[in-house]
Amino acid sequence: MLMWQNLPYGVAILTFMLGIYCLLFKRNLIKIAIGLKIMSDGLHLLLLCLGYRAGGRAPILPEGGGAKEIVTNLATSFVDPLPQALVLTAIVIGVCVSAVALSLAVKAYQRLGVTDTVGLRGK
Amino acid sequence: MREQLPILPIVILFAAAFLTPLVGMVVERWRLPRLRDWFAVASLGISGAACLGLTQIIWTRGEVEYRLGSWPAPWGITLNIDGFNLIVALLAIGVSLLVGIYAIADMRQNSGLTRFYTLYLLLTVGIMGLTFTGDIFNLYVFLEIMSVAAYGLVAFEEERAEAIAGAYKYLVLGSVGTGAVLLGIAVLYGLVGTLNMRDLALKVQALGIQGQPPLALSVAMAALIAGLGLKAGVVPLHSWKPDAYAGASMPVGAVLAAASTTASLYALVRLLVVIYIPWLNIVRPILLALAVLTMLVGGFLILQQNDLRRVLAYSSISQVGYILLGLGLWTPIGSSGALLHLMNFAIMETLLFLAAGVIIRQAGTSELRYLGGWGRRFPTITMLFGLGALASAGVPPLNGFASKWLLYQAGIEAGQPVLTVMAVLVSALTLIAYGKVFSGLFLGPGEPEGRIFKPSLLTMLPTWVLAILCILLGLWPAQALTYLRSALAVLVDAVPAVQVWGYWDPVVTGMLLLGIAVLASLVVAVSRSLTRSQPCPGKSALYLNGVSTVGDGWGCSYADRELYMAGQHLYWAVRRIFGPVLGALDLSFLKGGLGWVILTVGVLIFLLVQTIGGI
Repeated sequence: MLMWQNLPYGVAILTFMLGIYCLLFKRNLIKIAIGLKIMSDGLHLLLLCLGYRAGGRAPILPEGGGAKEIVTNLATSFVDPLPQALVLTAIVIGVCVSAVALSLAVKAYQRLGVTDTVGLRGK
Repeated sequence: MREQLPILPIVILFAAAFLTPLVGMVVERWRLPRLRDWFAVASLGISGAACLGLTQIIWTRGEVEYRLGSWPAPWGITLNIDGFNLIVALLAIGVSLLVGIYAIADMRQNSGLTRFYTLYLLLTVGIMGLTFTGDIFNLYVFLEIMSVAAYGLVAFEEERAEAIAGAYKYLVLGSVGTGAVLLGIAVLYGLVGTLNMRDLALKVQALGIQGQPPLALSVAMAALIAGLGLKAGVVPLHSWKPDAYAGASMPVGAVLAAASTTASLYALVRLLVVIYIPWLNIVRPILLALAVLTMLVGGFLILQQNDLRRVLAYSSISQVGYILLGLGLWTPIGSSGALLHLMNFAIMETLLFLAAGVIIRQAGTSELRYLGGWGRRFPTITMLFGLGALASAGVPPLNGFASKWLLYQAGIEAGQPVLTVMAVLVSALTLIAYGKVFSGLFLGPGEPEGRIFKPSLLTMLPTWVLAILCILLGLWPAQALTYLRSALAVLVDAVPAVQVWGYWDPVVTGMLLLGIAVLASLVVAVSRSLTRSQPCPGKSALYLNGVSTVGDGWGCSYADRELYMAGQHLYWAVRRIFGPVLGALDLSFLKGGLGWVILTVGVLIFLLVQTIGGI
């Protein structure tokens, strides 16, 4: 059933597909690096969606004992914090991959004078 | 200290990796750059010693769970070490150590070695973490550490165009692969909400018991198989491998081929066996199909290569097929054979890369047509290379034969002799391809020129160690198999004692030998009849083993690029028959490789949804 709360999943898959499209049909080395980033961002969005709960609370216990019902309903009322931690890690890794990809693009231009995959293959 | 032992191999290497730049800076000032190299190698040695220390604990206790930060299992990250991943880790660290020693001498002429050793240690950290971890997201992180370090290492000799091209291709395809792994993990987490592998296994299997498993399970399985399969170089996800190996320096190629591939295969097996055990019988035919494809494509493409690095790359691809074959059969003898072959694969691939590396480094090229005469110049190292080549072609009494023999038996025992025939055929193709290499090295024209230096002790020592291991494991495979039984116990519940020899009744063996003979003569006859109709200069004695620039006829149009030698018509016949198919799989730069990856993921999802079901 198509519902508004499923929209983020759709956006995530669309972003992922857009990245794949970019990898498949772009030749410029920098554009391909951007495509990789878009693809992984789609994945990150998907992970975030998994942990989201509409109307959920931040997963922080209130101080004191005043919120006993919150603690007992912990599993159903909190937003899942784990995917956010995972995404944070994945973003850092994504930055590393982008950095390596871009530096390779720079090296390809410096050493070989090419900026696209066709030129890289021809060398 | 004893409690902290499981984490030590990883922590030591991490610390050493980040200390290497510092050590490099200090040592440069004293003008003792070799000290930095030895620092890196020593840290590998200490880490290996810690792994060896772990064997004793595993031996007595069976398995160890190490909690990072003392968080209990389903919430915190754990390292789960048992017989299976300890063996993979020992192989990986052993290979890294030997290759590290080799690299001290081999990479001496390169500049910027501080970066090289930092990345090299990080690559090893990634492999060790990948094997030890018990947390599925941690597995992804270590996979990425391994991959990013590998991209950098492939590009290390940046003055060669292939290095940059290979690294870029590897980076793009590798990132798609790790992206698929992340997708699989995300979907699994969304499904059951846990990351600890044991907990995940329990919850996923509970889904299986409840009846119709959800669609997401099939998607996750397909994504994980494709992602880790890409890292291991399973056809048709292999296209990065030849290019990356052609770009990498030989020590890097050795570690990628042996340690990194082994670890990726391990991760694939671990996920399939631990998490997806209820659906294993459904996945097995898919694994077998991938195995056959990997063996055959690797075997046929290895014949077409005119570059030593690419020969090694395709040889390592076809060996991965054998391991998958044993796993796909999943009989006791099949999985024993697969595990033994995994071990032998790591040893003989490293041997091949290191021995070839000595010649390639001195010749300055890896194209076979320019390597003429180098075999005569370096007889010892070429003999060691030959030993590795014979081992990977499965010639007795070397180690490759023992594990392949088990796999042949497994195929027949499982009632699928077709698989055995294919495995034998690919062994023959590997042998022919290495025959071509040898023909080039020994009989090719030309005389080595330039400044030739004697290979140093540091390059010879690791090569000799590996060669001796090849022979020892070939002569006493039964002993190795006994040690592997504790590893197998993790995979299969009841491990019957598997005999390497004397398992078969003479009729089956005789039939198989007869089949091999018939098959070989059939291949030769077909290729002869195909080439006879169009005479080539290569068949005349004048051009035998010489480089010809004459090109006429269909086969000979390739002539200016390759060597003529005895049996050349076989390559032409293969190319004539399978040319279009092989052309489609010997992939062009990026689009082709990527297209195959996406297609494979699609087909896997389709097949798994069809078989496992789900809505």
